[in-house]
Amino acid sequence: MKKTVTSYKIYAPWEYEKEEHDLDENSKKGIQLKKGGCFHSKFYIDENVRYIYQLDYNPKIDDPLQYRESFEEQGWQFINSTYNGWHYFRKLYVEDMEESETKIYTDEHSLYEMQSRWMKLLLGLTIFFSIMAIVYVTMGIISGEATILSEGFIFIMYCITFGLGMISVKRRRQGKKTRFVPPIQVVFPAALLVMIVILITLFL
Amino acid sequence: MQLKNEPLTESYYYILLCLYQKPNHGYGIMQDTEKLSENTVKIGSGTMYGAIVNMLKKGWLTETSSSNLADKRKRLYELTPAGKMILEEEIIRLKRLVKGSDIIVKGMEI
Repeated sequence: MKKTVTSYKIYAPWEYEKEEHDLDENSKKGIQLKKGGCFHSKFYIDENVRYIYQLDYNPKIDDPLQYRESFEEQGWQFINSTYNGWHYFRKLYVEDMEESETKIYTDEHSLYEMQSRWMKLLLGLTIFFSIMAIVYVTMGIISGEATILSEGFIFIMYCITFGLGMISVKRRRQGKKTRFVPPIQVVFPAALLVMIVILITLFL
Repeated sequence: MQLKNEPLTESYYYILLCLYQKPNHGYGIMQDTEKLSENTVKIGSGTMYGAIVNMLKKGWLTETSSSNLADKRKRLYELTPAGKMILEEEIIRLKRLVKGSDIIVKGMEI
């Protein structure tokens, strides 16, 4: 049995290329992905192989067999899917690979289609969080309750992060430099921490 | 007013073109595209899957199974009359573009 290592590093959807890059770099060092996930990923050690990785987002697949076949016929090995529609693929690394062989999206049109699929969801979440932020902040100010205000603050943080994340994708498409986006690796645990503190103060 | 069909992307165009004479499977389409485009167009798996699913939904393609036993397991795609029409219209549009370009580049009278 190979020993598995769990990583709790999280990535925002707009950082999927960074995740691919990190997976490639890990594979170079002999750390191979066993199962990818949104909140944690599992790895195993094998220094005898090297893979390159690609992530796809497609939550609505009518025929999973047809989907997997279109990847397998081009040498992509399916690793796993997450509950929310991300799919992990790997291919054996060969020296002097052509760039087109290392990508699953080979034209702008289809790449943007894939990005738009998760951007649509992100936009919905941002709108939902903005409404929640307005409600909670208003309620917090009226009632003077610090817990309600801090919940409002969490929603504001999410809105800013998601909003700037989406803007960064749009900017990249226009060939512009990306500006600062609050790192999800800080925002998410911080929001979780605030929630826990709120819950504790409510029950004490 | 009937809206004009959008020009096809290179990937969509080559997929339709590779199915014009006979049904083919995804891998075959990819290989033929590479040859036809003199190695300038490679259709990756994600692009291929998305394009095929979209065109199946639009009714430009249908799925069919092979009569050849060795190939039985492979999923084949076939052009529908609607798909054929889209491709033929696109070829006419492209020829017109090339013709117009020739006139201008060669300095002929419009």
